[in-house]
Amino acid sequence: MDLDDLKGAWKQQAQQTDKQLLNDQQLRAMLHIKAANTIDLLKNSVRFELWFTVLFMVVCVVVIFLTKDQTIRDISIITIIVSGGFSYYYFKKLSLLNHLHVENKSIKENLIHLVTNFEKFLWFYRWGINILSPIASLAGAFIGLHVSTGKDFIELGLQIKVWLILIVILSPLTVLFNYGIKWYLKKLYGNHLSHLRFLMQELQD
Amino acid sequence: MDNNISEKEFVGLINENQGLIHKVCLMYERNDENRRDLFQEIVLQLWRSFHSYKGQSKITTWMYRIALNTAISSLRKTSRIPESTDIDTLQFHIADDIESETRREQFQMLENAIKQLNEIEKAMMMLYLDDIPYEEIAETLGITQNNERVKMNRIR
Repeated sequence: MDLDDLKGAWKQQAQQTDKQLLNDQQLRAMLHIKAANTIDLLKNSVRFELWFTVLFMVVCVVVIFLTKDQTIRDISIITIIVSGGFSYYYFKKLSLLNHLHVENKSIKENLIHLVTNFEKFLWFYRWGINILSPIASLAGAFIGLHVSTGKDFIELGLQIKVWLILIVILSPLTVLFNYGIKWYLKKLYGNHLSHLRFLMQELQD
Repeated sequence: MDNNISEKEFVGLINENQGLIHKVCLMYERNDENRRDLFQEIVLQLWRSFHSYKGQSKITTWMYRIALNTAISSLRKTSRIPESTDIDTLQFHIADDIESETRREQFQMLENAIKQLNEIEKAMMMLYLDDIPYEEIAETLGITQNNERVKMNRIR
């Protein structure tokens, strides 16, 4: 049987959709949905993380002005610096996610656009967190040492022994974390990206 | 106020052409729930792109593009692995007035054919079955007409 013979069957089937037609009210309700797909949900979650981090930084600034305790001030300054890094990370992630939308382009152009931007997003997601996590851990360790030993940050920072111990502890954790993130991203988005690449290849001349 | 006007205009537009969106959903999703989700996602994508529609192409061409791009490439929660459903459980409703064995056979063949296609081929087949001209199919896909013919032959 030829493909043309199936046109009748398709049209007959398509006519059945008339029974499912939605009214104006139902259609209007759809326009006000906040998240229709996984990317929308991801954006909401990153937006929340960004606002939370910014709010945390504001609280730290307020603490610096209100407290007279030097230790709390120092801790707040370190927290602001680390949170600044995370804020940039979330902001950039959000801006990369904003590029992952369907455009009024041909299917081929749209797939190229999505694959390129999805690769950029995953690269930044992985390496951004891989760089920020050890920095945050290092800052946490210095704060802990400062509180427990009473030594100031400059004094602690000048001790090679402290650096060596922290590097020995944090290096394997960072490597493990790197592999963990790589596995997590592959599990979450690997199939989707491979699928998009496959479809893009299908449209190559 | 402007937003309300364009919303009204948009809903009117969708109302006139919602059969097109239903057909895309029918082609890409088997399960009723997934089909409803996809319909909703397509409508929202069309709404988000509505401001960029300047009337440079036919409204149906614009709708096909956005709807197909959404169905093909968006990251959804549902699995893309084809479901193994038999003909009895298919969502392809055979109209009550069609009782001939030939028509039933055609439905079954159409369903079997769709099951074997990837997303790009489904788009081509849908546009072809909807009698869209070859130039427009090639333009929607972003390929040359030669490439399109090769792919159509493969589908056949």
